[in-house]
Amino acid sequence: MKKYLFSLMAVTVAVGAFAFTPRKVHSSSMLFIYTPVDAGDYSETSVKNPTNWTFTNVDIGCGGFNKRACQIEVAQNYYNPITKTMNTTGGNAVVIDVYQAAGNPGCYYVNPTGGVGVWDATNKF
Amino acid sequence: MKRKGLIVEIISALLIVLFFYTALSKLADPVTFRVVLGKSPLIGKNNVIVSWLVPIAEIMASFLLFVPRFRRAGLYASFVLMTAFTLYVGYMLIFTPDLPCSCGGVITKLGWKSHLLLNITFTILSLVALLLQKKKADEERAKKDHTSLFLQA
Repeated sequence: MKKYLFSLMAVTVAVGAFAFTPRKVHSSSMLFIYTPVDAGDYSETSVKNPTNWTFTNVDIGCGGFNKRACQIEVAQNYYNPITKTMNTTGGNAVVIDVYQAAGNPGCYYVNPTGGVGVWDATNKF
Repeated sequence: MKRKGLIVEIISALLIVLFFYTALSKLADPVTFRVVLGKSPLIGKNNVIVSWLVPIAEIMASFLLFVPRFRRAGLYASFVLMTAFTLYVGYMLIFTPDLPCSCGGVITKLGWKSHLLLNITFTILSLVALLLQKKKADEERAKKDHTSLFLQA
């Protein structure tokens, strides 16, 4: 039994730590669609503004053409389940990385590889 | 020799805590783990198989470390796993630092750089334990040989 003392202590610590780790509310990523106040506003400031993105759980199929912002997939720990919005403050604040559409001044789309807390982005024509 | 044995036991216990805790965390939320792995350019479409293989390998390594008879094999497994994890985190840190970490439990909150440091530390610890375990086994063998020679004489 003495031979197993440290190992048993280790297993106890691991199980204890696991039991006291707060669980996530959902078990998947969160989808947001771009819904600016002005429907035609694809400026850099608007696309980067998390409040212009609305939570949805339906993949709306944006087409994947990198011209205008359409849909992003946000990591769960960057999502506030109470307000159903992206986190905008603290260590888990979302930062949306954008590009300007070629030949379209003032028209921005989201970097297809996302940004901080953004797993994926699909843009549209 | 007793001190070497104690150091090996302590390092093995630390590795058990790390592997068992992260494996439980990954298995508790398999969807998130699978989705995050799917975003990795290194894993991509192999995410489903990798999301099962990693926690299973971690639990197996914990079991080998737990049983003194298999500890040496457990230390080899730990060293291989930690080296693979360190290389993966290093790659992610260089090429895709914006992706969320697919580590387990509270380690997710560490960020890539701290996670890399943690992995390097555990890789070194497992190597140290492996070398000490080998040295201890050699010393025990030499002592046994010496005793049998003495008895023969």
